Amino acid sequence: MLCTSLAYKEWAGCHAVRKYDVYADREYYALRNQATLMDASPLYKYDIEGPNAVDLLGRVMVRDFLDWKIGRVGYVCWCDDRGKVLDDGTVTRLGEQQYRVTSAEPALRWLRMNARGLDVQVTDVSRHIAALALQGPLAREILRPVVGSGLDDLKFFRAMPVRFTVSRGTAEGVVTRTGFTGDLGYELWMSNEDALGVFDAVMESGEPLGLIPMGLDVLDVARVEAGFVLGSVDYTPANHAFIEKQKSSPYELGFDWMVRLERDPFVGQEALRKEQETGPSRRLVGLEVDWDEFEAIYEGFGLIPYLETATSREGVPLYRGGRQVGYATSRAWSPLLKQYLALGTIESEQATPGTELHIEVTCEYERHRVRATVRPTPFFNPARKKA
Amino acid sequence: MALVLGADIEGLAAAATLARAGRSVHVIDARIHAGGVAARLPFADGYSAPGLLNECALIRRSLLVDLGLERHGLSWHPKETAIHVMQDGAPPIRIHGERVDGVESADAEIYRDWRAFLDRIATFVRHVIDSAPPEVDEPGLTDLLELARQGYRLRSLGDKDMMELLRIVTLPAWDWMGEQFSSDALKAGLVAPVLTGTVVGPRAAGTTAMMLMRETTRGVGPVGGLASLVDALVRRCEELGVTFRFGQAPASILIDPQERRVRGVLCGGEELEAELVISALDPARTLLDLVEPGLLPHHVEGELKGWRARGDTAIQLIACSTAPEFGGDNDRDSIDRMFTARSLDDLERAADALKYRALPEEPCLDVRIWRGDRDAPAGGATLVVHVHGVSHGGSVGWDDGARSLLRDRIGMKLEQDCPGIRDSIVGDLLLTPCDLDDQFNLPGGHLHRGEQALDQLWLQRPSIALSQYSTPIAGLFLAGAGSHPGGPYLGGAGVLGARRALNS
Amino acid sequence: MAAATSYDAIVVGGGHNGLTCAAYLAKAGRRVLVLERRHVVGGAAVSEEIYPGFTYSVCSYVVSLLRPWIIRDLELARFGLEMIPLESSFLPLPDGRSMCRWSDSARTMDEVSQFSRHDAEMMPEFSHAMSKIGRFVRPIIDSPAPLPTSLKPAELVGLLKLGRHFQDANVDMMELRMKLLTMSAVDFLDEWFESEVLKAPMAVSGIIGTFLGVRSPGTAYVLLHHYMGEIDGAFRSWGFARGGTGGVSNAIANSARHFGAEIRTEAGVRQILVKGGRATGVVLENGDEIYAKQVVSGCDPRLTFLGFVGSEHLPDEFVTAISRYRFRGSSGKVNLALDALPEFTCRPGDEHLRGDIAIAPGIDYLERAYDDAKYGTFSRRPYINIVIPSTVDSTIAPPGKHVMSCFVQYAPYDITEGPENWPAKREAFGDTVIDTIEEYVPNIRDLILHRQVLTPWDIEQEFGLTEGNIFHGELTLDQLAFQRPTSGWARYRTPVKNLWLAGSGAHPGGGIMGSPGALCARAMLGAKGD
Repeated sequence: MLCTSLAYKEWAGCHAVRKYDVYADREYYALRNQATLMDASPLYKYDIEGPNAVDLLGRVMVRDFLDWKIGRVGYVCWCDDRGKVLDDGTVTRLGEQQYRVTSAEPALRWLRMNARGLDVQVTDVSRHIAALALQGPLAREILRPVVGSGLDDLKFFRAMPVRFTVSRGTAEGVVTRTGFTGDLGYELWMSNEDALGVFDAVMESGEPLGLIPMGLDVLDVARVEAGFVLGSVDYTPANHAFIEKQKSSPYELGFDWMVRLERDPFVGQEALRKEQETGPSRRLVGLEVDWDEFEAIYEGFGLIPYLETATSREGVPLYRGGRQVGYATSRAWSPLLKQYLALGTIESEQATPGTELHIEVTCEYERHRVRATVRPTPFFNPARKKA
Repeated sequence: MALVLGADIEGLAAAATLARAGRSVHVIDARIHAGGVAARLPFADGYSAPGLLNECALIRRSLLVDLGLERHGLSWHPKETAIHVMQDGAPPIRIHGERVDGVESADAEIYRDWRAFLDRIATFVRHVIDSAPPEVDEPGLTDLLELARQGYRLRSLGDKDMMELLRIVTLPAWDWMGEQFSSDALKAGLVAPVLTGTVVGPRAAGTTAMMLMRETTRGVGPVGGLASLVDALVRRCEELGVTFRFGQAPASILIDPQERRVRGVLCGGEELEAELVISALDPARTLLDLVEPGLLPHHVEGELKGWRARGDTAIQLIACSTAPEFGGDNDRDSIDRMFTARSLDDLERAADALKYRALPEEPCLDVRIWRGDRDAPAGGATLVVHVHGVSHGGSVGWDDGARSLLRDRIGMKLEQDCPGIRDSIVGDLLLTPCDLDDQFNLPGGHLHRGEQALDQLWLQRPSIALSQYSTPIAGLFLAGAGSHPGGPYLGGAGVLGARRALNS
Repeated sequence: MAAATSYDAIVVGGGHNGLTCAAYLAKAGRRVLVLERRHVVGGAAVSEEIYPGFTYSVCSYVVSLLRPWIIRDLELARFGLEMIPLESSFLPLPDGRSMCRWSDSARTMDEVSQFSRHDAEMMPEFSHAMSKIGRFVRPIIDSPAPLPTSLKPAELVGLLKLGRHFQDANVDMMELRMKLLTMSAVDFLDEWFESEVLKAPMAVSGIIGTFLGVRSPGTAYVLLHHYMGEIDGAFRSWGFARGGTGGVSNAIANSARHFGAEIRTEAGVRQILVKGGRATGVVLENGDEIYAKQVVSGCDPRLTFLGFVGSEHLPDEFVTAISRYRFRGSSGKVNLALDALPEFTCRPGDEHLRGDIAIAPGIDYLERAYDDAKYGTFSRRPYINIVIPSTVDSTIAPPGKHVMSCFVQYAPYDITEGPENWPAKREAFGDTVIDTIEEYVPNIRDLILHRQVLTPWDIEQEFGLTEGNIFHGELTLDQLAFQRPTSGWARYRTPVKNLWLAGSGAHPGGGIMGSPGALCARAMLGAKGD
């Protein structure tokens, strides 16, 4: 469990492990074949409580929460007044008047600013609530002894209150059937003090089944396989953008399904209405890089291509017919699919699955272009995820 | 139907402008009669004040002229009201439009040159003050024309005056006055009037800009004070069929959330329908308190939250059984308005008190004297005393101790310049910024619904997005003192705001 | 004695701007002579061993705005410039609490969140907004002042470029910029933050070198002027020069010499020679006359025009404008040699002492300090900006011992007793500073080996800075850009032909920036028909 690679990165002011071994492959295969456990505590978390909690969420988020039952979890994004995405995260309905929002960027100020006139309490619990992500095909078997058999009834994107069985008694918390890997998995929420105990309990239960801890590098590959966009990588949060061009709308990011326009006013509604009529000019799409062409370029130099199990976040141009039509923001080799995958933003006209583009590839300091085909996401979508 | 919120001078001017254009207009005010701080206020048996404001000569006559108020009993003084500034060991100086008396001849000469400079730039400044600020965010053709026109007017001042204007516009009055005059009293007398409505003293940047505005636009006041303007406006409104609802504050502005269009106003539990709502209330109260949250863009909300309207002036109305004679000087014509500050430092020290929310140790008084018969018995007088440097007091409020302390300090100052005056006082009323807030619906106790400061003027009154009187809510307009030209430039915002609403 | 040789240009004053100008001229092949009255170059950017073993940065003490392109052009790294970044900004409080802002923003947020979670969250957003504005301001400080009233095509293109900056931003940004120009630092910060613990030390940037208070309108701009240092390459571009601030001047001087400039110290100028409306050379204090085709002054406008040139050679209006140009020095300096590193009661240890330390425990504290100055005395409890550069630079103090530099505001030049009476109050002023520090470092008195006190009067007498103003004139809106030092003469030229102004009294103003000197040299090299 020691981070022998000494590879850490800064995540919301914390040191987070990128990979425990020098090579991340062991973690990757554990994720897809057994299970992995990751500390996701640096996520920003806010508790929204009060009679108007649902109104605040409705006002801030592009989704509608009125018909949400207790225990429902949802993926959301929220926009500025001009309908440009500020951040994405999850909302969980924990109680009658109690919700929890997770986000990648600090959001306390934004939430409070929008709470004017509402009877609602917004509390930053980022540093009080820890989060552990248990992901992989054996996640249920591993977690069952720790939280009890009620787990079997927990459906995809649902939450349940639990009592974790730890070495010295129990700890209260919440389990959600969510994750950022596109696989069967759970996220465990508990207070900071209990986190180590829960971590140990889960590891103890899982080790015989092959559970190992996982770092951010593998998560980054898994989320590309699952087709999940990452803020500040695949899009620039609107409040971080220096120019208009850097901002993205929910439609551009493929969040069309979230946006509920016909309801009470919410932030960005007017702009989104307009955009819905005209349609976005750009789209975020999945791409598959043609491996044979890619390999052929390397062969031309007498080389064999090697891609590490990690996602490259360096943007590269995408072309069609010699003209640049967009850029790829995340590129990853999928060890499971044996495909070279990418997420990129391109002109809407080129966004139909099957469209053939070209992606820039640099080999031996020379630039080349390799065919890349627009593909529907997720690239990897196992039945067990929702089963 | 058009609804006007607030029946102060701006609200009345807006209502009359709308009604004159054929709209049916209904005016709502929480107070029981029209006029706000400009209304006649009886405060002691036989004594009243014809409005609480001492600056009566900045009324935008050129904008009100269309309303034909003169037919409704409004008349104007033939001459400007002179300002007297008290001095120690010397008779008061007298500032009277183009002249100043009682100062060294060098200062008198500089004053003439100084006035000449002001006269040269007056056309330009007046034009800016009497026009709606252009839209600079997404300017249309008219906005660009207007900008070009103002740019042209500025350039046509000639290089020398234009550069001088650009240089001094951000200057503290303390520096500008220091460059010109040597008489402390003259400097104080010229600067003191613009400090009301600001939380600063003469050393603050921007006070020169306020002086430039005042000196180039001031004219004569209405006979009988601002109350006569209010009366004439009310009569004109009534003639035009405007209806009034007094004693009820609007509870909220009704808005169609999808269209973001105004539907009317909720008032006294009743939904009043209207396609136009013109608010003469302060901008922050209108848009943050009366509009349901969530309908305004965040930057507009943020700007409104930054709107500063901190009370800075207390007003004491004093009933004198015999008209006081200040400065012991009866040779010249009687004193109508006088200042007790001897120097800019006196004004600065008084303004310092605002920073610490303390009472000024040595208050500087701006005294307007209304002699009988209308507002006081014959031979007597009503004094409207403005004391700059007095803050709202925040949540603590004003206890009796603080009130009597302030009264004493004012009394001592008056006694200094008019020995024996205390014996002639037969009644008084002290209005602290707290009282102004409570009794006149002036948030923060600010007389002009928003501080006069460089970043709260013209394009930024109340903010770039709102300075053309329109708001992000269709049909809802701002036309109160918190909009350009606002402040003591009475009637301007009401007329310009209503015109904008009519053109929408 | 008539000079045997003639120069292309004489630079009067070997401050960092004069030296920069000289280096650029020399690099372009001109024969340049720099004349410095003191025995060292650097002007106010100088290091001196006042007490044996201790090197003081006598006046200017941190380097923030030195333009990267000047470092590149003059190869300053090659000529000995070594910058040590400031690591933190520490605020001790009298009630035992303290806050430190670090170059690590996550760590700063943790510190700030102890006072206000809201403010901590605001910080990244605030920095983002400021860097957006910075992008707008940078072209202004890196190019000559645009002239808003000209109709020349070149000027219009310049204005259009600025206009485009306006255009590509949305309306809230424009509001922000307009506000920045006209607001007070406190009103501006009030719109972002709630905690005074954060606002007070941030607001002081708005008053440095001005005779204004943190609540005075216009100070928000000055705040931005200083904030630029943090924008251009993040917080870390604020720094110490190794060997003291004189290190910057020495590097520029070395560069100038390398390119062929001649630099003479102890060569004070008494007069700038003007014949037929043209500058022809200078007369030294010893009576020597030296001639040159061009004369450049790195000194402030008042000293240059009313001191060296003389009003008889200048148009009346210009003389009036220069007489009105406001200096009003408002700060003093106390330099200390310390036997050991001081320990702040509220936060022992030394990690937080490697940056700057602000004695600015509240807005009212700062305002009261200003009030004292307004009415003619130095602040009874002043704002003090302390640095202890010996914590990161071992070359300036013996091992284990330290140099502590205290920038003190307000110390008005024009005290009630008259500025010439400052010497009599010098030690009282020094005592006030030590008394103030003692409230945070109780044993400070026991540590002091030597104390140097500089009042505005001393700064004027010793360094030739009129009224002791460290920026060659207040940084107020009416004295910036096309109005610095006066409208019509903001392009380094003067009413005297062949006489140029290259000091901080020219656009874009004060601070160790180098821009006025470099831009002046550029203007001279581009000038035709001289």
